[in-house]
Amino acid sequence: MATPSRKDSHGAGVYLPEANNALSPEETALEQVCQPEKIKCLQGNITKWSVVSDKSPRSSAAWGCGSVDRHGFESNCCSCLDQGSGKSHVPLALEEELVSASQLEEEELDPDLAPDMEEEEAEEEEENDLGDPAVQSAVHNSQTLDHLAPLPFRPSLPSAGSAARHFGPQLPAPDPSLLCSPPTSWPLRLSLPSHLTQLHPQHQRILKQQQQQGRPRSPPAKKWPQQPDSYANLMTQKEKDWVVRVQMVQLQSENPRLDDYYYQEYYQKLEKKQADEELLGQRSRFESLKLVTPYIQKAEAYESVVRIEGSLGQVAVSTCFTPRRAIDAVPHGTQEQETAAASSQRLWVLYRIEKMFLQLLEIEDGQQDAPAQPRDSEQRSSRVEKLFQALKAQGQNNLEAADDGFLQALSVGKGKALVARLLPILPRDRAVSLLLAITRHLPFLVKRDVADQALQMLFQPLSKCIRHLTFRELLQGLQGLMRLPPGSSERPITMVLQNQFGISLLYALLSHGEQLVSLNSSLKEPSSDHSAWTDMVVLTAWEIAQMPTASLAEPLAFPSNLLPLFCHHVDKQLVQKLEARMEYVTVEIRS
Amino acid sequence: MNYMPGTASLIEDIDKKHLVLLRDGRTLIGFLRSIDQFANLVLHQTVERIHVGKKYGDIPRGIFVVRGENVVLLGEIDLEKESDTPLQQVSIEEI
Repeated sequence: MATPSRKDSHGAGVYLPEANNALSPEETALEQVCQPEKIKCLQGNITKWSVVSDKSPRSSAAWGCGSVDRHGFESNCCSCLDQGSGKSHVPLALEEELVSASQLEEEELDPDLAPDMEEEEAEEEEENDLGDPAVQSAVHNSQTLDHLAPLPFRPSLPSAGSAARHFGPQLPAPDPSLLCSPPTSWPLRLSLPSHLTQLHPQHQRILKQQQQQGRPRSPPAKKWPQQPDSYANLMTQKEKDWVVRVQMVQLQSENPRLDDYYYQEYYQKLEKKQADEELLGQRSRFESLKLVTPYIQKAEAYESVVRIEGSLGQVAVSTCFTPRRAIDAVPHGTQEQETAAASSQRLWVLYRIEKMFLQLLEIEDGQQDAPAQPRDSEQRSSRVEKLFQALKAQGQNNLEAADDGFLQALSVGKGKALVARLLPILPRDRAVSLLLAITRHLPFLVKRDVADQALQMLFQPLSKCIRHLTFRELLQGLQGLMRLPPGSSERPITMVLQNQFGISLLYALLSHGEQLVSLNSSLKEPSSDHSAWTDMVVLTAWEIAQMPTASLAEPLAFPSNLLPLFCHHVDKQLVQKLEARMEYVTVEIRS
Repeated sequence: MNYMPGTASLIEDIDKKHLVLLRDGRTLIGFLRSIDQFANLVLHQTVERIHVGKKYGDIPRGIFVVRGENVVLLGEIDLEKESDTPLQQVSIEEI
C-alpha cells in the first residue's frame, strides 16, 4: 500500500477529565456543555437521528455530560447549540444518541449506515470539555451507557454554522471490531469512569498530558461541518474485507521467520515483554494483535502452454496469472562463459558470499530453535562442513592457489562478517586452519583492508581460536610473518605492525605462545621448536623496536604477559625501547 | 490496523480527506472513497492544489480514479489543522 497507516493508538475515546462529575447535576452538566470550544460534533450517521429541540434536559441529566464513546467522537454540538437559544440540552441528547448509536451493535443498525466508528486522530486528542469522565471507552470493549434514553437526533447544523467548505465531514469506516462486540440494546447503560485503564497506555498518557495542559488544543473558532457525509461507505464492508483478504494472501509465506524476520522478532519480543509485565502484576495488559495470514492453498502451477494432441504449435491460454502468453518464451540459452574479468570475478565472489550466508543463517537458526538434539547435530555438523568447504572453494579458474577462494571472500566486508560468525561454530581443526590461513596472508589482507578497516570484527573470534592453538601450529603461523618474501628486504611483519588488527593478532599469538611455554616446561628444553620460538620473539622485538612509535598501530587488546616475555629473551636495552613503545600504547588503551 | 496488525493498509483511511501526491507532480486533495489491492484510489470532491510560493490555488475536479502506481505518497489531512497554514489561498486565475 502506498501509505503507512496511522499508527496512533486507536484507543478509546476522549478522556473526560473531570472525574468527579460522573453523574453531575444538570446545571454543571449544562454549563459544561455550553463551552463551545472543545467540542466537535459527532460526525456520523446522523441521518437517522433527529434532534428534539425542546427536549427536557432531565433526560440527559443523569448521564452527565459529554459521554464519549470509544470511538472518540466528542459530541460537541455547542456549535449546533448556537443555532438556537436554550438548546443547551441538545448536545447532551445528541451525545447520548451518538454514543448509544456507536455502542449499538451493528445488528441493530444497518451496517452501511452505522455511524463511523473509527477514531480520528483529531477527535481522539480532543478533550471533551463536558467533563464527564464517565465514558471512557476501551479499545476493545464496548461500553454501555447508563441512563440513556433513546433519543432521536437530527443535526441542525446547517450551513450557517459550518464554514464554506466544500468537503463534507469525513466519516471513518465502520470499525470491524465494533461488529464483534457483544450486542447491546437500548437503553444502554453508562459504565463507570474507571475504564481509563483499559485505554492503550500511549493513549492514556496523551490524554493525561492533555488534561494537564488544560486542553489548549482545539482552536476556538473551529467550524466543524455538521452535514452528514452522504457519500460515506461507498465501499461496503464486504469490499473492504475482500481487499484485506487479497492483501493477506499476498503476505502468506511458507517460512515466515525467513520472509518476515523483523516482524516475527519484534512480535516475539513484544510478547515476551507482555508476559513479563503480566508476571509483575501489571493488570493493564493488552493483547497485541499478530498478523496471521490465512492459509490458502496455492493453486498449482498452471501449464503456461497448452498443447493439444495432433495440433501444430501452441494454444494460447489466458489465466489470471498471465493474461496472454502467446509463445513459450523461456530462455534456454547457454550461459556465456565469462572470462575472469575483474568485475565478473568480483560478482562471483559476492555471489558465493551470499550463498554461504544463507547456509550460515540456516545453521544458526537450527541452533536457536532446537539446541542439542542428537540426530540434528549430525546434520548440523555436516552443514557446517559443507559451508567450510564452500568457503575454501576456489574461484572460477582452478589455476588459483589453494587459499584464494578464502582470501577473496575475506576481501569483502561481508565476507569478513561471514567468517567472524562462522568461526565460533567451526570445529577446532577447521577453525585453526582458517586462522593459519589468515596469518599466512596477513599482509595481503591488511593491505586490502585499509579502506574499510573491517578486519576488527574478526579479532574476537580469532583470539578465542588462538587459545586452542598448539605450539606447533602457533609457530607455523608466526613463521609466515617472519619470512622474507623474495625480492623484498622488508618482512611482512613490518606492515603488520602498522595495522591495528595485525598488531593485535600478533600480540595475541605471542601471548599465547608465552602462556604455552610457561605452562609446559617441556617446551623450555632446547629443541628446534623452542629455538624457533626464541628466534621469533627476538625478531619481533627487534622489529617493534625498529618501528617509529608513531607508526606502531594501537592493538585492540594488550596482553599482560608480553613484556615479561620480551624480558626473557631480549637484552635490556631492547627491552627498554620496547617498553617505551608499548607503554605508550598501553597508556592509550587504559585511558 | 485492526484488520492486519503490523502492516500498513489504506482500509482505515477510507472516507477521510487525503492529500495525494502523484508522480507527475500534481497534488490532489479529496476524500478517499475506495481502494483496491493495487492501491488504486477513488477520490471524491477532489481539488487539485497548485502552490506558487506562499500562495496556492484550488481547482475543483470532482471525482478522480488514480492508478496506484502513479501515487508517490498520500496522507490524511487533519480537518482542523487544515486551516492553520501559513499559506494563503488565492483564486486560480491568479495562480
